[in-house]
This record gives sequence, C-alpha cells and structure tokens, in this order.
Amino acid sequence: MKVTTLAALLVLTQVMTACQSPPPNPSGDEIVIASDLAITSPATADFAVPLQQAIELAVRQQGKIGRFRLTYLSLDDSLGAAVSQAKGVHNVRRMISDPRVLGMIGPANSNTVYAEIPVANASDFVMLSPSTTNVCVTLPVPYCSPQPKELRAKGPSNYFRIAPPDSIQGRALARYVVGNLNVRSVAAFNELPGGGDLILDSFTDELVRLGGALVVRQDLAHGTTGFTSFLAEARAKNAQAIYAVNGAGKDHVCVAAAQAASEFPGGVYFLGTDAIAGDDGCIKDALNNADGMIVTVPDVDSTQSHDPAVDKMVQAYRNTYPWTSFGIDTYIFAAYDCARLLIDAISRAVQATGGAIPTRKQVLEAVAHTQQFKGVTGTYSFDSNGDAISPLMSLYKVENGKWVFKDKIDASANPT
Amino acid sequence: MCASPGENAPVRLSRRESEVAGLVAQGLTNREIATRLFLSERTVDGHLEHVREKLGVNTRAQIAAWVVRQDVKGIAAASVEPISRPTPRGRLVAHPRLWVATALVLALLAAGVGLLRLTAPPGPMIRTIAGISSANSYPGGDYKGDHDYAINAALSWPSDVAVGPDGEVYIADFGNSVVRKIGTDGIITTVAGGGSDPPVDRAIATEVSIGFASNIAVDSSRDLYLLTDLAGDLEVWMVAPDSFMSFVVSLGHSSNRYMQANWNTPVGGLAVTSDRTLFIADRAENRVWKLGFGAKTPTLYAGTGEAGALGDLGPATSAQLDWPTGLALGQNGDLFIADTQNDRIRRVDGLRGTITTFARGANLLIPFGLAFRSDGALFIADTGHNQVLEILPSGGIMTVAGTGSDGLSGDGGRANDAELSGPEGVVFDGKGKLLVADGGNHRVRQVTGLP
Repeated sequence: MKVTTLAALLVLTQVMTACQSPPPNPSGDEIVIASDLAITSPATADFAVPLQQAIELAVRQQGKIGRFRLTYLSLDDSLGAAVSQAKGVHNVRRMISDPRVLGMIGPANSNTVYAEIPVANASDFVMLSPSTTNVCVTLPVPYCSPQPKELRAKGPSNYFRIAPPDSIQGRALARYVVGNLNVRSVAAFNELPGGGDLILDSFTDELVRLGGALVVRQDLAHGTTGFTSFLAEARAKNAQAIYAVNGAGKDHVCVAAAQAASEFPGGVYFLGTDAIAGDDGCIKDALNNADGMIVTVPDVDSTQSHDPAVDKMVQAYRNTYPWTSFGIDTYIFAAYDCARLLIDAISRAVQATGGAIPTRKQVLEAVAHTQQFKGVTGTYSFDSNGDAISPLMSLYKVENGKWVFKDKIDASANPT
Repeated sequence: MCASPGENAPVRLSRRESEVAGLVAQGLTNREIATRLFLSERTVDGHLEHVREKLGVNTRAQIAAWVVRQDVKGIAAASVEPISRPTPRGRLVAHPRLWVATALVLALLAAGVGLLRLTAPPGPMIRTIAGISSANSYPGGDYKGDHDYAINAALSWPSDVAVGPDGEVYIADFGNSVVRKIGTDGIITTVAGGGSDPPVDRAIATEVSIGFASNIAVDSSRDLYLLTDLAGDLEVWMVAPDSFMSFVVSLGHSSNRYMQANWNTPVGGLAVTSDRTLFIADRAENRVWKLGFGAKTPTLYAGTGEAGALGDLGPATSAQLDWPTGLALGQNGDLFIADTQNDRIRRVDGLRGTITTFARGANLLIPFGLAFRSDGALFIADTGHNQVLEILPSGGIMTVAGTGSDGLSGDGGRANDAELSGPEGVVFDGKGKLLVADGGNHRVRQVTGLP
C-alpha cells in the first residue's frame, strides 16, 4: 500500500465517526438521518455512492444536535441490478419504523419517488431530494398522472427538492442567451412531448419578456436525423440560435448542429438541455460544429465555485473521498446541501421543543419553513410545492471537443 | 458520534472478500478491482455486498477504515505487489527429494479432492433456458430471437413464467411488453404484444400492445391469461390458442399508474384453478380478487385495501396486505399470497376464508413469486435476497438456488452456488423442474435435481 494512501486512510479513520447502521439505542439520545439511494446497482452505483458519501460527511461534520448524537442510516434501493420501487418503499417503511429516524435524503430516481412519497406522507416523514428533476413530482401540470396532490393524501407536501424541475431549464437558458450572447431570435424543435413543451414554454416566456422571439417552434419525431427543412425555415426567419429539446436516450438531435453548417454559413448558436450534456455521442453527431454548443444542467457543480467557504467544503470532501471523480450531473454537493438543510431543520425543531426530540411533523414543518438556507450549491427556501424558490442551473459549453462548465444561472421566477 | 460498526465483533472475510476490501481501501473503483482481480464487475459488486453485510457497514469509506483498523496491509498488498518478486535463494536450492515429497503430497491431496467431488451429492443444478442478455446490459436486453432456440433469444426483465398442459413454457417478457412461448421443441415465439393499439375483443394477440403485463397463467385448455396495467387500469385479458384475445375483467383504476415503467416491479399476481377460477392480486391497491369462470364481476378475496399486516386468524377480507404479488394454489384449495412488503407469505383457507401468516422472518425479503411442486412443497422467489427458497414440511426454509449475491453466474453448476438477480416468477414444469424468471439477468433459469 502506498504511504500516501495509507496516511489518507489513517486520517479518514480518525475522522470517521458517523456510522450508517446505528445500533439499537433505547436510551433515546440519538437522532438518525437516513438515505435511500441505489448504491449497489451496477447502473447507478457510480452516481449514488458519492451522494451517500456527501451525506455521510455532512452528518459526521455535525456530530451532534443539541444533546443528541447524530448518525446516518444508509439504505440501498437496488434490486435485480436496478433501482427498485419495491426496495425503496421497503426502505422507507424501515426508516419510519425506527423512531430515531427523523428524515431522509433521496431517492435519486423520480420513479421511486412516486412510490415512496405516499408512504412517507402518511407518516409526516420528510424527504429531501438532491437530484430528482421530473416536473410531475411537485408541479400540478395537466398532463401529469398522478397529480402531486394524489401522492400526498394526508395533506402538505413532505417532499422537497433543491434540484430545479426540468421545465425551468428553458427559462435559465433564455436568460443566458439574451444576457450573454445578445441572441434575440431563436428557432426550436422538440422531440419530447409533454416535458419538452414545458421547457419550451418557459424558454419562450422568458425570451419574450427579455425582448426576444421564438421564430420557429416545431415538434419532431423522437430519433429524427433529417433537420434540413426545419433549419431552412429557421434560416428564413433569421434565427440566431437553434434550441434542441429532447429526452434522454437514443436521440440524434446534435445531427442538427452538423447540418446547420450548410444552412448557416455564418454560424448559429446550438442550444440544448441536460439530455445531451456531457454526451460525447452528441459531440460526434455534431461533426465539426460541436464547439460552441451550450446546454443547461439542473445541478450546481461546487468544484467550480470561487467562494472560499464552498472551496473549504469541497476540499473536505476531496480529502475524505479522494477517489471520487466529479463531472456533469453528479449532484454530490446537492446531496451534501440536502443533508445540511435537514440537519438545520432538525436543529431548529429541537430548539423549538426546548431541547427535546421533535416529532416528525415538527421536522417536516421546520423544513417547509426553511428560510434562505445558505448551502454550497445555493441559498434555499421552499415554495408550497416543495420546490426551491431560488434554484440555480449550470451552463456547460463544448470547447475543443469537450464539455466544460461555463456559468451558474439563477433560474428562479423572480431573480434578484 | 457513534462507534464504527463491526469494531468489536470478530469478522471473517473470505480470501476474495479480503482482497476486494483491500483494494477498496486503496481507492480503486469496482471496475478497477474487477480488472485487477480478473473478475466481472458484478462479481466485485457481490463480494462488496458480502463485505458490507459482514462488517455491518455501508460505504467504501467504512470498509477502508475497517481495513486500516485491522492492519490488513498484507491483504491489500497481496494483489498489488509485483508478481515477479525475487524468490529467496534458499528455496531454490532445496534438496531434490524435498520436491519429490511435496509433489507426492500434492498429488494425494488432488486425488482426495477429486474423490470427494465424485462422492458428494450433486444437489440441484441450474442452467439458462432462455435469454442471452447479462445483468450488465441494463436497462434491459432487447427484443429479438423469435423463431430460434430460446437460449439464443433476448428477453428484457422477465417477470413471470407459466407452463401449459403440453409442457410449453410461457414467459412474461415484461421489459419488452410481450409474452413469449417456448415450444416443446425449444423454439421461442411471441404470443401476445408487439403491436401499438390497445387490445380489443377478437384482436390478434400479437397485433396489439399489452401494456405492463407482468403476470401470466395458463389453464388446462391452453388459454393464456395475462394481468396488465393498461393506461392506469388493472385488467386481465385472455389469449386463446388460436391467438384471439378476449377481455376478462377490469379491476378499475389502479395506483399502479404511480409506478409505471419499473421493470423490476410486477403489477400484481395471477393464478388459475383447474376449474378456471382466477385469483388476481392488485399490488398497488393491496387486495386479492376472485373471479369464477364466466363471471363478470370479481369478488374480494383478501385485503382491505389498506397497507399493513394486521388481520391474521380473521376473515381474509378484513385483513391487511402490503403489496400482494405472487399467488399460488395449494392442493387443498388454499391460496398462498406473496405479501411482498410485509416479507411474508400469507395463506387464505379455501374453505373458511380465514387468513394466516404461513412464512415470515429474516429469510424473506420482498418475495415476489410462489410455486407449488406436485408433492405440495412451496417454493418462493425471495427477490430481495436473490434466491429461491423452499418451505420444508418442518416449517423451516431451505435455499434451493442463489448465493444471495446479486449477479449472473453458475450456469451448469450447483444452483446454490449460482447468482441470481432479483428473481420474480417461479413455476414447475410437468417434470419437476423449477423455472425461474431471473428478471435482472434477463433470463429464465431452470433448476433440476431438486430433492
């Protein structure tokens, strides 16, 4: 074993105090924060394990709340080599059956959220998610089935998230292209019925509010590879940018960037959503026109921060988990913020009860009443749906054939 | 601050687990460990899962900390030190007679091991009978291979299996939204699903979409029943041997719609009796229904609709269930229910209608599928533990397939040494062979030689 690695592990051992499988503690001097993440599924472990570590770090840094020892219970919702609703629900029930567990972080998967919210809601059990961006989880959009209200039979939302819903990627992007690129005229195509319409609606609203116009808006079939007629119309309408909206998967929207070269000899901006962010296949599809492509990602990469306080936390994470690699869409620091936010809410609830252990309902209310919590990815309060009032979005751009972080954008409805 | 798990308890890791733990402590990813140890990444996952369980920890950091605490530097070093480390000279000049003696001892040992292998009872064996994809092919296999041998076909999240009166095997190929059939000649075909329109009476089954059809059953007339979530309604449809479809019953709007497109979660369970009475489990609504042959309206058979575990010894219709899925009929007409989220098997007395807990305990975790063998022994797909279990007449539970670790391995060997990945449906064919819908491995496995 290398000396440096051994030294790092020794340091790690010394500082490691939080445990994830708390022993029975009938004396009642312990508060537990739990998480539900697919940490062993081969498809998700690389994503989920760093989130688990970030939560663990937050719990360890805190150590105690009032007179209560704070510990961490990490549960795995993998089953049959994939994320499992059955396991997720099982885990939430297990958390609820343990009176020491006052709240949870996760799950990371929107489908699992659907199964877990009703179970947690019935017990006033608060859930905080760093990474679920599915619109239907919180917003009463007509096409959503079930509606968020149906999932929360008992009443108020018990589910909060700091990752912005996908729909406001459009709003954030409009702000960027008008403010930074001086773009006023955009042509858009959509290969994602429903969710893509919401993204385009928010883009159009903001573009128009800022003095621009959406000059072409076309729905295209999923997997389209011929964009010539769309591009010709975009050129005829003097579009300065092409906005491609699609879902994750085997789309080829970046072929449009390649084909735009002949329609727009003077160049045109190519814009997209997180569906293509970090996708090397997209860069390949775009041929020589990949450089300059711009996309939004509903996550904030704190490793790019210049804030010393944030840097300090990032360094603490790196020191503790030196093998973790960072990239687009990793949500590591969002998980850390969720844990810190829950700790903050529990602390306030403990204070409000005069130092006694609060009920789950009191913790839920404390999270709901969070005001301007300053985390490493942003500053958070929540609306009645459970969404962050001031969500932030990252902006990535292709430079020299690689995706690079460019900026952080305030995606809130009323930016300060 | 809390004591680190496993700090005081003695823990025995296998050699391989120790190697994996040591490499985790060095910061290697699973992929890197797999490369280093010449294992598949899934196998490394499995070893790590065992390490976590044995140590009572959840993170790599905790494993690393444990390694350091145990001073297992040797463990970690064993797999990273240069292979060509110089051998001490003294050993090279050992007396030739010593080499001969050593070789003799080794030969005797090898012979002994061989003898042991020959005389040891073989135990149940496992092999794949359908599906080519591996668990690493997430998010699923693809859809191909019809009109070829089933062993060459691609399945996606098979969730249930059924056997027809002539020995043909039906597979709910859930991830592909089709039902496949393996004929007695081993050739696989699609018998339902694959189209785009919703089913209607008299439609050809292969020309419609069958939605989220996770459970199947076949009656003595070769009629195939499938339980599906179609646009939020839980319905049963029948496919006759001539491929025409008939609507059987709708249980109405189901909360299953909250959880669509999760291929490792069945929408319920289905069983058919010899007189063609259907039992239908509505997982999301926590109820089991009974539908007599030819009847239009189902009657409630078990479950109040409220999730819970209460009600044993009382009427089944007043009892709580929590995600009922797999169903199986006992020889005396009792219905057995995989009460999934309660980690139990419930039994409804066929005569009195009362419910009891038939099996529960630490051995069961999220059981999805049930099957009776002709001698009355009950087999359980213990999905959460990646195993298939048998309930013994003594009431004990015995593992018949699966090591417990999530993975794909063991074909051609003992079923107990093989890895499964979230097994769901189970069924016996007419020859006492157990078929397992090995969902996460996108295969159907066959266990033979069961005692």
